[in-house]
Amino acid sequence: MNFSGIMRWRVAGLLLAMLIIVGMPYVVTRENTQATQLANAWVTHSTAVRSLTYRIAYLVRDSEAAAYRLLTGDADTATQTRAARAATEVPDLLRQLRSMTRDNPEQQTLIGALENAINGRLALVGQARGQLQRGDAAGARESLREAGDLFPVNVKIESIVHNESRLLVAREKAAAERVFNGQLVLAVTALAQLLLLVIIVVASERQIGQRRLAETRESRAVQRSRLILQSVREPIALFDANLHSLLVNNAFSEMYGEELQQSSRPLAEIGDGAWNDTVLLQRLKDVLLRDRELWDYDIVQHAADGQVRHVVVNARRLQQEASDEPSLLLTASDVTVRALTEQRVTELNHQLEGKVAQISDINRELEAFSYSVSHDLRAPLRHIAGFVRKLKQHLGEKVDDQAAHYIAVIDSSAQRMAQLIDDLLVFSRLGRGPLRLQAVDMQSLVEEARTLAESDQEGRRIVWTIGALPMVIGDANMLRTVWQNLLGNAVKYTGQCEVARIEVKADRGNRGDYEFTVADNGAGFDMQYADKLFGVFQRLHRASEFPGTGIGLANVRRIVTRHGGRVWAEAEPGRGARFHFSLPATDATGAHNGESAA
Amino acid sequence: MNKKELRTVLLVEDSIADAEMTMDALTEAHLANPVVHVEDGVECLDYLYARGAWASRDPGDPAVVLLDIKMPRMNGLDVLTRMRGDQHLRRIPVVVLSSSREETDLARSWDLGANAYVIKPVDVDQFFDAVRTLGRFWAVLNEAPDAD
Repeated sequence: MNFSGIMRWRVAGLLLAMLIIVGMPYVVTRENTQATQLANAWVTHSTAVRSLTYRIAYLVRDSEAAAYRLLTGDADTATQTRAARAATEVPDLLRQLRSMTRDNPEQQTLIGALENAINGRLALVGQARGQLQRGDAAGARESLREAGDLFPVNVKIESIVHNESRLLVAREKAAAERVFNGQLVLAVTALAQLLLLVIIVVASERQIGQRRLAETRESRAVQRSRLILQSVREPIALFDANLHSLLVNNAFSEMYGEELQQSSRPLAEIGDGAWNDTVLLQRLKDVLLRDRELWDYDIVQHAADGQVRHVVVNARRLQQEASDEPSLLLTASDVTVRALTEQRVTELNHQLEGKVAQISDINRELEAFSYSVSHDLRAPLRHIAGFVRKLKQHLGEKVDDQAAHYIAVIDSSAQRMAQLIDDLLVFSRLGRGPLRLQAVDMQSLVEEARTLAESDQEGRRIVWTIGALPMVIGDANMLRTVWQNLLGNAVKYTGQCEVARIEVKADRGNRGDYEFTVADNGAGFDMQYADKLFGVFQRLHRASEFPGTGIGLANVRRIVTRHGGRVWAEAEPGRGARFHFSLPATDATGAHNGESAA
Repeated sequence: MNKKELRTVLLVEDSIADAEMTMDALTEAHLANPVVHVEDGVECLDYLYARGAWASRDPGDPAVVLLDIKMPRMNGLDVLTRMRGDQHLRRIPVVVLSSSREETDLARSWDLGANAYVIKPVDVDQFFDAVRTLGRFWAVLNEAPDAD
């Protein structure tokens, strides 16, 4: 049942209670009054009946007494009249008495008996008077005596009076009971009135209290909403159907003018016309008229102080009830910083694209450069060598030792330069070409490199200790180059050892990456020059001691770095060197020695 | 001397020094074939089509074309492309002689239909060996079909 239903029932109940409380005393009072009146009437009635009865008795006796006086010789007229009076008056009185007690059969019976007795006595009294007039005094006496003996009336009179008294008592008692009941009802009604009053007072007090509480809550909620609205940092404003401001929060008035907190102004004039944008105003009218939401509408606003703001506008129609005039809720987010950042990002992207293009250009130039080096620098070297040869042929027998020496130096220099160019080209190619990744069996690469390194070392004693090496993912040709360089170096730098000991092993690092080690007992190097070890054409030994151009370890570093690993070394002069390189963990892990590459 | 032995060896080389060295090496190989030296791709095609400066040359295709790649005007790869696209020239053996070790040059030469690719060694003895071997093989040993 809803609230209004409850209210209706409550009002109906209240009305009924009021009706009962007001109506009951009225009815009860009225009834009481009537009962009292009736009781009084009965009392009067009973008194009247009694006195009438006594009057009848008196008249009868008085007549008899007068008759006795007459008997004694009193011939007074007054006495004569007294003696005759009963006969004339009593029948009327008896009729009266009979009519008064018509509602009471018992009294009627008694009155009937009384009437008979009285009639008998009166008849005898009349007879006595007649006898007396005729002078028959003895007969008269006898008649009077008979009247007293034959027709006793005292008992009957007493019965009637007694009956009437009894009736009176009963009636008075009933009347008193009714009065008492009426008072009881009045008292109960009064109690009920009191109770109802208390209930009404308590209920209304409670209602008032609840209403007050609800009002307090509501006003607090309103207060809170207002506080929230005011403390939101995003500018929010409410406009009426004509786009005049109704309510703005602090953020909005801070941005577009403090006067908005006090007075209503049309949107187009707010913020010195910052909102006077034809398209936007049209869109907002659409929001109001057609209930279309405005989503993230970007506008650029020029403030009076010359500041430019990038604002994202969102708006929607607010309509609490269908009959209300709709209003427009509008939020304006200042995204100037974001817009500027985006602008900056775009600029940076442009710059970056430019840089990328530059890098591609540089790469192309590098390619052209290597090509040029490969082709153009080698040709003159070939010519030097070719024409030195021709010179030698030309001189023939005439060449002396000096000339032969010069020719030999020119020749070997040309060769060395050709070697350097080739090395440089290889190094550059290692950096440029794509990695052809595949599963690579390091074990077989090491075997291959070992065979190659030993191939021109007949007569040397080399003890190899090669551990189990894993499968890795990598560029097989490049990794082959790594092993060839490291094992070649190990063989080369142990050249002066009686027994060369070279150990190759693989360990797994903490993060699952592989760490390969090539250790030898050869010449080693001074650790303070270790940083030069992996540079291009950097050497820690003289070419006369150990031949080479110094490109090998540079290649190793370039390859390992391109595979995502790193390379390092430790050594001591005369006590050997240990070269390490790591490769990141790959899916081919777990495949260890014994599973050769397909 | 039969007809085949009289066929020319066409050397296409812009570098005078290289050309001189190559000619020396061919001489050392004791080839009877005459060696004709042209200096770029355009001249090479002129010779092959017997036009321009070569309009009045003796008829007949060369036994082999020794072709440099990097040349002014028209480079060796363009010459090769034109030759392999021509009904009359496509069977003439072409040996690319280049200083370039670049993979791309090598691969493209093979793709275009070169019969051999020789990197000119800087080492002078190797160079002479290579050219002598080439001359003997292509000019003497190799049997080429007669021109159509």
